[in-house]
Parts: sequence; structure tokens; C-alpha cells
Amino acid sequence: MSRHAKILEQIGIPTAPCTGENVIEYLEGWDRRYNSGIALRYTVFPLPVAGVSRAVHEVYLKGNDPVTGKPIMQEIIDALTKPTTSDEQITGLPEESSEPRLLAPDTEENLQELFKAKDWTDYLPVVLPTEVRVAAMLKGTSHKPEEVVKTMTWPGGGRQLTVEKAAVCAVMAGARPQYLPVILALATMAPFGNSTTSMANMLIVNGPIRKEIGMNSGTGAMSPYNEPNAVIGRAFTLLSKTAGNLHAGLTNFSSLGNNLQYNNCCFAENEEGLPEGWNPLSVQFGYTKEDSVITVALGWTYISCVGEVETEYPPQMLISDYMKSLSAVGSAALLCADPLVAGMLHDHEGFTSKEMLSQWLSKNTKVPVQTFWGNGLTTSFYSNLGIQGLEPYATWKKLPPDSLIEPFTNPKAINAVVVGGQTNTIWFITDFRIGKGVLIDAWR
Amino acid sequence: MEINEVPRIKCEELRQLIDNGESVVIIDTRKSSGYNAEHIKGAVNIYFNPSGYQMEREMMLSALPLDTLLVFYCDCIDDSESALMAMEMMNLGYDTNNIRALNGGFLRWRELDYPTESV
Repeated sequence: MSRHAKILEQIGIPTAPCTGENVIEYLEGWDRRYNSGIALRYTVFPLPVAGVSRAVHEVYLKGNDPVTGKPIMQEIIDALTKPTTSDEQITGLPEESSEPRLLAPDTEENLQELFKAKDWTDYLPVVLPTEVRVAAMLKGTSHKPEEVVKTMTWPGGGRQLTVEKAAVCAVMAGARPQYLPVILALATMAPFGNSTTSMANMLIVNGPIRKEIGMNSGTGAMSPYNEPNAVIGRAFTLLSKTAGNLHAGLTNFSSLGNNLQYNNCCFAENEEGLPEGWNPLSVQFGYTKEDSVITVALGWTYISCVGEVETEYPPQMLISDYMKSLSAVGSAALLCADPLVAGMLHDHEGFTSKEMLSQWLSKNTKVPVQTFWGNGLTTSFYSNLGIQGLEPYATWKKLPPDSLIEPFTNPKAINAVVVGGQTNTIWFITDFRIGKGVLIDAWR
Repeated sequence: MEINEVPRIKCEELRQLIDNGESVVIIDTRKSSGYNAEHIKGAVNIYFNPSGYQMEREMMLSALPLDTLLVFYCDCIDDSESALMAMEMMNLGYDTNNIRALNGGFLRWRELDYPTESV
């Protein structure tokens, strides 16, 4: 909203943006400072705004701004008509400020408390990143400490994430130096999901480094039973919160949050358990089997099959059934399947490649069109594209509500990863979207 | 891949494809204000916001069809924003053969006085 208001203001059209009281500090502070660079006159509405009737909205309109106490309608008129104040005439983005490289010496206990007070932790104890520990961590890469891994512009600002800062987070997370190349590759994708929704990430490692550092792709790979799985995932959280400057209520407004963000569901693909013809995820996206790659998936939800596969009802049928509960935003689905399930799909159901399974799921998963448009995110992403004429969304906009559609239109966005220890025929179907992973070898 | 290595298509070639009724989706990567004011006829708008959240933008890009030529354009001097978005498509697994940045972008299209429309 601030972006659109800024565009209008810049061409001389006054605006009166309105917002909820939970984000006004962000808008007048962080957003002005780092994103819009201009003062916008926000009118604040009480909460909740979403999910309540028009009658409630009318009451709000006739009431007062809960922050200023002024009548809302008068405030909107003032925003559109009153001349700018001297403070409002200050425009432009300031220089990025940052914390000092070194903190003053203190006790372990005090420093742990300081890190919590600064919101630099996930509120589990961290390993304090002393100079000695960070120097030892930096031995895990040939890259120089001052090298910029990424300039982080989301959400706002231009913070430089250096190799040293990533090493600091690696120490804090409890990593060993040999994990650092993975964490540096991961740093290129930071920060993690940040949205008012429960956006989260999943981290999948492919290639020789899985064995080199002892990652788990077998029994309990998605649970807390392995050090590199645990701490590499945690490092992404700490990178996102510190270098990414994500703080609840200031720069992050996820209403419920997502428990996956403690570890970001970090695991390695069980490449040894892939059926013949099924390529590792990284190979599907153009890397070789000799490349070590980390893939950062983005999504919200995962659903377990709960029990073992019943041969009377083939696994792809139940997977498709459960996919109907996913939003289909970006056509995205990610199947996490035990090697036993992958083997059944391959040997008994004839899916000789992951791509073949993706095609089948794309064609055979159908929902009423009203279900597809019933999701606010889907609507905000695709409704406008449909109005502009992009198919199939243009057609879907015109269909009767109960018409069946195939919402996962893009089979390339339906992926499968094989993971697990073959103790049961278990799978998860998720709405996580996969893109091309990052080459870890470039960060050795 | 570097920006200058992203495959390009000339405005004249794109015009020919449109005139021949070939299947092509044209994506305007500029801000919605620019798109609303004037855009290549038939184009859809997916804004390349360099300070936006890349993974969220990729959700929108995944709406684009797999089996159709996708032509991205901007109004940058070196087609940089459209080329960057084209590279994002490749990273999403789209076939490089189906992705092009429009050489010269919207400025060249207008210079040739080819069909545009507004919202």
C-alpha cells in the first residue's frame, strides 16, 4: 500500500492510506525510513478489519482513529487537503546503520540476556560468537570474511550480509566449520519467509556434502536426531533474524507464525533411495550429481499421510486427494516420500520419473473453482492476471463456482523429494515451492 | 548466466509472431502505474520489484504457462529488469527456449509505433 501511495504522491496526487493499528509503528518508522522515504499520512483503523462485516467497518468509519483519537473521516480529509508540515517535507532514505562489530566484554549470562534483549536469538541458548570461535568457523571457507554474500533489501534497507556475519550466525547456531559452505550458500537466500501469513521454508541438501558432513536423509531425517540437519536449519533462522533484521511487530507481522521457522525443516535427500530414473532434486534443476546444492523451498503447510500405504488405494490417489487441501498458489506442491513409497510409485504404479508423477498429479487433482479463488493469497496473486487476460485464470474467473478445475496447472512446480529410513511407507504432501538451488561448492 | 546472455527477441520479431497468431505471453515488468498508463497490447503485468521478496514474486511467475513463449519487457536501457526476471524463470525450471527478454523493451516498441493499450 505504501508503495502505491508513494507513487501517487510523487506525481502530485495526495493520498490518505489507511491501515490497522498493529502495523502503524512499522509504517511510520521502518517503512518510511527504509522503503518509502516519504511521510505518508496514515489513518489507523481498529482491529480486526479482515473477517468482520461491513457494518463493523461502518462503525469504524464513523469512529475515531485509535492512535490519534481524531475522527477517522476528518483525518482522511485532512490527509488529502492540508499542506505538508516541515517533517513531512523531509524525504529520502538514510544511510544504513548497523551494530558495532564487537560488543563490550561481559559475562556469559549477561551476554545471553543481551542477545535475547536484542532479539538476536530464537530464544534457545546460543553459542556466543567470540572472535576466537568466529575465526575458527571462518576456516571452513576459502572466502574472505569481508566478502559480501548478499545485500539484504527485504524488508527495506540495504544491509550487507558478509561471510563473517554468516560465520557469526553459524557459531551461534552451534555449527562446525565444515558446515559453513552450506550456511554461506543458504545465506544467499536469506531471510526466511516473512509475511502476515504463516509463510515458512524447507531446506533440502543434495550431493556429496550430505555424506561429508554427516547429514541425515534416513530414519528421522525430518526430526531432531542429527546435528548438521539441526544446526544448519537453525542457522537460517538466526541469519534471517539478525542480518535480515526480522523482529515480530517491527518488521515481521506473521499473525500466527510457523513452528517450522525454528529449524526450517532442514534435511538431505535420500539419493541412495531414489528409484531408477528418479533424479535428485538438484539434478532436476540442472546440476550434476557431483554438485553439492542446497534448495530453499517456500510454503506454508504440510500434511502427513498418517499411516502406511494401502495397496488397494494407490499412493498417488491419496496424495492427489490430500493435495486438494493445498492452496495451489504457484501450482506448488512438494511430496516428501519415503524410499518405500517412491519404490511403490515406480515399481507398481509405473511412474518411471519424478516428472511423470508431477504430470499425473497436475492432471488428476481437481477442485471446485470457488475453492481456488476462496484463498486470499491465490486471489491477490492471480485475480489481476486473470482480469488482464492470462489463461487459465481469465477463464477460471468466469466459471460457475462449482466447476471443477485442475489448479496445479504447472507440473514443474510439483516436485518430489525422497527422504526417510524405510521403516514405513510414509509420505508428506506439502505446498512448498521449489526453485533452483544454490551451489554449495562455490562457498567452500 | 549474466544479464547480457539472456536470450533476446527483437520487437519486429515479436510483432511478427503476434500478427501470425502464434502463442506468446508478454509480461510487462514495470510498475503497475506504467502498465496502466500504456503497455504492449495484450501484455500482463508482473512488477519486477528489486527490493521485494523474490520468493513471493516467484509465486506469481509460476502462474505463467510452461509450454508457451514468454517475452518479458521493461523500459530499462539494457533490458536489465526484464532479463533478470527471465533468469528467475529459468531458475524456476522453465525451458530457456521459451523465454526471451524484449530487445530495447517498451521504449523501442513505442519508437516503432507498434500497438499499445492502457487500462
